[in-house]
Amino acid sequence: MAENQGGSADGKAGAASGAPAGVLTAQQLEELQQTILGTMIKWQRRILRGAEVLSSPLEIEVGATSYETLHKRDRVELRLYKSTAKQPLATPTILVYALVNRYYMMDLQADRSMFKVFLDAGLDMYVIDWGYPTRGDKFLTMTDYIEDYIDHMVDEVRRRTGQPQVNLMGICQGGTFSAIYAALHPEKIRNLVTIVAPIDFDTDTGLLNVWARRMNVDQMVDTFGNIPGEFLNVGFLMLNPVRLMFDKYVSFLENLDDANFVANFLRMEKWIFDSPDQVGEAFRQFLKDLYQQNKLVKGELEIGGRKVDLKNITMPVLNAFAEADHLVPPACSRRFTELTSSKDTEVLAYPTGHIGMFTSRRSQTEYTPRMAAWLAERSGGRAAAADGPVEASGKGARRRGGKE
Amino acid sequence: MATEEKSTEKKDVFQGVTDAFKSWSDTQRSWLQSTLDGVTKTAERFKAVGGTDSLRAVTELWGKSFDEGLQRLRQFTPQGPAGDVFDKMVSAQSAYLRAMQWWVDALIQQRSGGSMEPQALVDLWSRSYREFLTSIVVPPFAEPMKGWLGALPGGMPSLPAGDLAQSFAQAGQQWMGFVTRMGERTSQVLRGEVKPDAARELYDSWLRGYEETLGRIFHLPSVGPARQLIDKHMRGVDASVKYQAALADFYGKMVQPGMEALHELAAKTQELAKGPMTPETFEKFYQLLLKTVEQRFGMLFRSPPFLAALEHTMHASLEFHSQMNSLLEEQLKGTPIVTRRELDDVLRELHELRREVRSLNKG
Repeated sequence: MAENQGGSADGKAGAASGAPAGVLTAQQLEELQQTILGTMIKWQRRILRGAEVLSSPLEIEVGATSYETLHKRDRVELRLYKSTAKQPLATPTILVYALVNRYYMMDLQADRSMFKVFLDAGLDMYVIDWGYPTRGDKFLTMTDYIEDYIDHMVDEVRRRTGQPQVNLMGICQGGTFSAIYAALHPEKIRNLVTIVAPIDFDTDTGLLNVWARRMNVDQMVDTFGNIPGEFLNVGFLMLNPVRLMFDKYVSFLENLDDANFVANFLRMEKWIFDSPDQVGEAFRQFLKDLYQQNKLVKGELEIGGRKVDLKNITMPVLNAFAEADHLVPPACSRRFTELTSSKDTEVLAYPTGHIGMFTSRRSQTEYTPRMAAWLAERSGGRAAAADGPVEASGKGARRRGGKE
Repeated sequence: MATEEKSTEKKDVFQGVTDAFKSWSDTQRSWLQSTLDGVTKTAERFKAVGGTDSLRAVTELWGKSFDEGLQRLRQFTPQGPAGDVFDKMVSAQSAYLRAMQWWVDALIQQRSGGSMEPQALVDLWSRSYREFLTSIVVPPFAEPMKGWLGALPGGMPSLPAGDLAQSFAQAGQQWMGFVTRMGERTSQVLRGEVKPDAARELYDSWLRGYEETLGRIFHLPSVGPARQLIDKHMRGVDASVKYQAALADFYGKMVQPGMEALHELAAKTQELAKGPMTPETFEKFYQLLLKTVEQRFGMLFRSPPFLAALEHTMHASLEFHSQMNSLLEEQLKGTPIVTRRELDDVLRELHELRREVRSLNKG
């Protein structure tokens, strides 16, 4: 039986046949029957094929690019993704990701990898991997993250490369940290790139901002210690439960027979729910000082006993944000460059969502190449020929992926 | 002489409990009234399919199986004095069963055109229920209760039994009032005399009732060597009740937008139904469903009442979590397991030391 053979071709109901409105004619009933049968057969085939797909050896490992672990401080690692270009940029780039979720979202698979684009463009990417905090980390504050871990890793990269300055690229919350760091240590930063980074928290356009203002953060941290990743996940899903908890899985079922779709879906699913716990004290400060009191923009934020003044940011700044971002709405990011003293700024607003910024097709072909080109123009030229990509073997080298 | 006084106090406590049981029966009237309304309403719907016989058959079947279950239960009667109490409790259940069967029979008769007016039926039931409580339910507990009170080491020196009885009676009185109000409100809901937000009123009424009665009991000061543990248990129960109540309110907030979304969807679907039924029709319906629900809930999630409920639920949830932690820590005291508080003290020390060392190294 041919699929979808039922249904009225002319799209008209029984009015023409003289049947009362709302009552199906015998012919229409037969059409409906055929449609239902056709659909059922299609679904049965899909499920059978889906069972084959799910039971086949699916390639759902995340992280397509090899790296080398260069250095470790407590739980935090410095990882190098070496440029694949013959002549990499002279200035190394340090990536600071958010404490929420894991950075391999930027390198989910070979054909959806921001890293690949950056590495091909000549960037040596040094990634600060925050790892999975435990109870032993619960007293770490934002000062520890910014003035100890980031500062230490920046110095480590400067020491290893012999470069006096580095490019700092911050993603989401990591962008906030990067902006704060750049304001505190402008002499160490050559270029600052912030991607979907919340800076101005005083907006009602994002549901997360509205909810965060009503949270009793003290009670939360005092009760939980570290905030469980699962707890945050529930909050994120609640932002749009219909799409995130229902439609997404309907879509999965509809494409169950497509091995490529299934593998992509499972990789993304792995990333979404790979959620480290949030260190209690840093979470407390981030929510109270930024989400609730917007101290960074007001110039009232204190890190390590020093006031953070965004006007100290004088280096070139590239600020990219997503116009349909439901986690970090454009209003949180848009004004950032205006708050700095930099004379060389660029703002990129892309018609995508928070995740689409990193994993969409346009991210591969348009957004990321643009950012790479911006950095290339400002990184002091190219270094001598590189050694080529780091192999996934040897001391410290490994593929990224699950919890380590 | 002192012993006699103590004995009188204990008797007062027992009397307070017995009185509470007695007055409890008086408050059943409103509940019964609402039950009657509900049953009458249901019976109306049964009329068309001759429901009376079915209802009677079901009641008889239920009664028979319940009674058989009780008889089987008697086989497990323990030896000694506890066996006597057990036997009386089973007898009480049996009597309760008979009372229930009588009630259903009376309802059926009334609905079938019997002479008894509903109000008279409720009155009769109230009287019989009171009799049932005081003469059948209370006696099996009377002797053991006296025994338990007598066995308490040193009685209750820190909290006079008279005060306890009084507190209990006061709380009980408020509880009775609360039950009456709830019953009246339930009656109105069943009769369709109130608006949909009656659920909210019921919730508020329930919570107020709880806070004025049981909630207060859970906050009474505890006495004795296990005072701390009892306190934590009591606070834990209270936090649990409040959390459940907050959760119910939180979910309750979802009902109205959900209903509105369905109404809106129904209206939009009428247009869709005018065309032919194809797989694309279902796809359109599905997209309509998503969009409608998404819009409604998107609005809800930003609304002040929802934000207040979210805040309240989070608070109640964390409070409950915190009480459970506290209780667990109390219980871990006697074990060789380190508690979170103890571990945190060490971790804080380590963190500060590490910070100091790094600061010195940097300097």
